[in-house]
Amino acid sequence: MLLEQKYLILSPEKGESGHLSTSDVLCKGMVALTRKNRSYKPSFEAAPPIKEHREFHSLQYLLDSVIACLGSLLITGIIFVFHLYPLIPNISIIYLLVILALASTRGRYAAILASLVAFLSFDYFLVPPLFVFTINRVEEWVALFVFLVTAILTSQLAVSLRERAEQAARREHETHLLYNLLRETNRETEPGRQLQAVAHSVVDVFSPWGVQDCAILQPDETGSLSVQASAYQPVAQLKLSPDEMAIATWVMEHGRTMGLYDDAALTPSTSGRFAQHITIWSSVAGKAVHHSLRLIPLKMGNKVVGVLRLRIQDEMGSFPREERLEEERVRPAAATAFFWTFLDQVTALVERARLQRENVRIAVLERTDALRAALLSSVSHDLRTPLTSIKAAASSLLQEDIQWSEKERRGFAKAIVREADRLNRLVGNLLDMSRIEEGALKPEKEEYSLTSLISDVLDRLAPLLEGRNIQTNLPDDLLLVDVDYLQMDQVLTNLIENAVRYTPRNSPIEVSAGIQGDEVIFSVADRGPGVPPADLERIFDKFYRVLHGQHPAGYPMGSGLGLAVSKGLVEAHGGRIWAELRDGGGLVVRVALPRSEKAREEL
Amino acid sequence: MNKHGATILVVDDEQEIVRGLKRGLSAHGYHVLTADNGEKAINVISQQRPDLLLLDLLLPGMSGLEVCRRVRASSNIPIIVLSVKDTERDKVEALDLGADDYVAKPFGMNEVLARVRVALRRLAQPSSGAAPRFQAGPLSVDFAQRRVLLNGQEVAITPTEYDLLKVFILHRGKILTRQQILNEVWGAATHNRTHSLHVYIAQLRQKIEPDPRHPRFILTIPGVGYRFNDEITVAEN
Repeated sequence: MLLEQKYLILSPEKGESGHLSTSDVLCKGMVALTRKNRSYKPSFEAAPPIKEHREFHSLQYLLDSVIACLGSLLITGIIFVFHLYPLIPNISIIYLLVILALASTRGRYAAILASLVAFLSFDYFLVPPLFVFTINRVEEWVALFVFLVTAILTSQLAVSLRERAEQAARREHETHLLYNLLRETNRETEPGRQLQAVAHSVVDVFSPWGVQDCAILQPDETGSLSVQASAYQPVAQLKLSPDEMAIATWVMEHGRTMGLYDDAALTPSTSGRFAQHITIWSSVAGKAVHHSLRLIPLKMGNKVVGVLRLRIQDEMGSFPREERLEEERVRPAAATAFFWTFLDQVTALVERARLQRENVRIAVLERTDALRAALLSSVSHDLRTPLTSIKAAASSLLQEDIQWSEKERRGFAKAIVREADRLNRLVGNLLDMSRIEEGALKPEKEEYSLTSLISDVLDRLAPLLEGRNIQTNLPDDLLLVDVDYLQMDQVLTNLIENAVRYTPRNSPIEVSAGIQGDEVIFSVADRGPGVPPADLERIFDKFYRVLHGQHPAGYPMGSGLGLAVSKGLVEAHGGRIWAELRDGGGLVVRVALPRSEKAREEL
Repeated sequence: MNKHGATILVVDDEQEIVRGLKRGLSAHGYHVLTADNGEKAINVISQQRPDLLLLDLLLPGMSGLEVCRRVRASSNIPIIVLSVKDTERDKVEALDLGADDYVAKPFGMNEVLARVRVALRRLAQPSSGAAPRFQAGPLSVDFAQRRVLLNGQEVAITPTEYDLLKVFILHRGKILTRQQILNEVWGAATHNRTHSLHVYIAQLRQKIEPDPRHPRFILTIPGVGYRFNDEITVAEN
C-alpha cells in the first residue's frame, strides 16, 4: 500500500542517533534518498527544512568540559611558566578572553565551568602559597572573587546575547518558511495543485523531524473524508486502509491528534490489532526502520476543516508524540510552537482551497443548470412543433362537418407522416447527443460507398425534400469510406434537414462529393441567409442556437442539436466538419472523411 | 388481395400500437390475434397456430429475442420484428436468430403491410429459388447458363457478383443481414469480409440497377444488411 520497501534500505545506527550532527547527516541522506526513489515528482521548489532546536547531549557536555578545562589550564600554564604573576597583578583578566570566547561559541555551561577552573587553578598554581587552595592575603581573596563574579557575569551576558541572536535567526528562518509556504501555494491557481504544494512544503520543512510524506484529507461532496492531495504520491495511488480511514474520521470528528505506530499498523491489518496500537506506545525492537503515522486535525477556531496525515520515520527525527503535541497546542513550547504556527497557515490554505473548489463546483452546477434549462426549453419546442402539426392535421381529418377532397385528405396524411419523421429524427439526435456526451459512441465502421449512401439518404428524405430544388453533384467513383452507416446517414440527414429548415422554399440545395488527397469530402450547400462570419465555428456548439442564435423573422427556432451531433459523429470517425460562407450568399457545410484503408492502400 | 385471410399474431405491450396494427391489418382482410407479453405469445402460437408473427423486441418479462429463439426452435412461422432505433443490435441478432424481417418504429402502415405481404408470399412459395429462370422488371437471370440480362443486354458479371446476386434472388423480399450474406457467399469462415461486402454490392448495383443512384433491386437496410426487392413491377408511390 505504501512505499514500504524503499525506506527499508536505510538502517540508521540506533545507538548514535542521539548525536545531533550524526542525525543531521542521516537526515539529509534520507531525504535525498527518498527523493531519488520517488517516481512521482511534482514540480515544486524544495523548501528549506526547519532548523532543529539545539538540545544538549552528553557527548556535547563532555566536549564543552574538555574545552573549558583545557582553555583555562592553558592560560594558567602560560602565566606559571613565564612567572607573570604577581609580576602583573591584574593578569587574571586574560582568562576573561577565553571565557568570553567560550560563552559566545559554546554556551553557558562551558563558560561557567571555565570560570570555575580558572578560579581554582589560579588559586592553586599561582597564588602563594603555591599548590594549596589556601590564600593568606585578604586582598588576593577579594581580587580572586571579583574575578570569578566578573567572569560569570560577563559570560552570562555573552551567552544571552548569543541566544537572542540565535532566536532571531530562527524566527527569521521560520518566517521565511511561512512566507515560502504562502508563495509556493499562491503560485498555483488550481485548488488541487495548491493543496499539493502545501503537502509538499510540510514534508520539506519538517523532514528533520522525520516527516516523509504528507497527505491532506478533506470531506468531499458526499461528506466522507477523502485524500485531496499528497506530497509525493498521486492521489489516486494513495489508498488508505479502512482502519486509517476510520481513525481519520475520528480525528476529524473529535479534533484530536492520533498516532499510529508499528509497521504492522501501516499495512492493512485487522481492526482489533490496530486498536492496541493506538493505546500502547510500542516500539517494536529488532526492526531497522519504524514508520508511524500522525493524523492531525486542521482546526480553524473550533471547526475541523481537514486532517493532515504525516508519515514519519521514528528513529530519524524528533517528531513529538501526540500526547505532547496535544499538550503543547494549548501551552506551546519553543520546539513545537513553530509547528503549530505552520499548521495554522496550512489550515488556512487548505480551507481556502476547499472554498475555491466549492465555488468552482457551484459555478459549474449553475452553468449546467442554465444550459439544461435552455436545452430543455428548445427541445420541448422542437418536440411540440411537429406534434402540433400532427394534431392539427389529424383533427382536421376528424372534423365531421367538412367534406375534405381526396387531395386535401392526402395532404393532411402526408403532413402527419412528414412531421412524425421529423420527430423521429429529433429523438435520434437526442439519443446520439447523449451517447456522444457519455463517450459511449462507438462507430461500427465498415467500408461503404459514400455515393450510394448519399443516394440512399436523398431517397429516404424524399418526403422532406418534396418541392425543393435539390442538385446533386456526385462522381462516378464509389468514394469508399470506412464509416458506421447509420451514423453517417444521420450526419447527412442533419445537414440536409438544416439546409431545408433554414432556407427559403424556392432556394436550391446542392449536395456534392469528391476526393481530395487522402480524404473524401462531401458537402451540403444552400443559398439561405448564412451565419455571421464570427459564428462559423460556433454553430457546431451544442447550445449555439439556444444561447446565441438570432432567429430572423420567418425562420424557425430550433435546438441546433443537428450540427452538434453531426460534429460529434464525424469526429468519432476521425473526420472533420466545418462551415464556409458561399460567394453569392448562403452556407456550405463540408465533411471530410479519411478514405477507406483499402482505397488508400491501392493508391 | 388476401382472400384467404391469413392469421397474424401481434405481440406488443403498447396497447395503442396493438390497436393501430389490428385496425390496419383487419382492414386489409387479415385475422388478427394479440398478446402483450412473450409468454402469452408462445401460448397463442402453440394453440392457435397463426400464419405470421409481428413481434416487438422490447417486451416486459421474456424479451422479444427470447421469444424469437423459442418460436424458431419449434416452428417455421414468419417473424417480423418491430424495433426502435435503440435496439439495432437486437434487431440484427433477431434476424440472425431466424426472424424474417423487421420494421422500424415509428412505422407507416403501408410499410408493415408490404412486409407482411412479402413474408406471406415467401411462405406460399417456399421453393421459388429452384426456378431455372428469374425475371423482375428489366432484370432477368438464367441460372442454367449463369447469365444475367438487363433490358435484354447481357451484363458482364464476376463469379462472386453472380453468387451474391443468386443469394439475393433466392431470398428475395427477405432482409439478409451482413453475416447471413457472408455465410452464404463466402462460407462460414468469413469474419472480416464485411468491408468487401459493401464494395461488392456497390459494384453489383452499378451493373444490374437501371439507375445505380437510386437502386430498385438491392436495397440498403441501414445498420442491418440488404434486401432484394422483387416487387419492382408494383407501381411506386
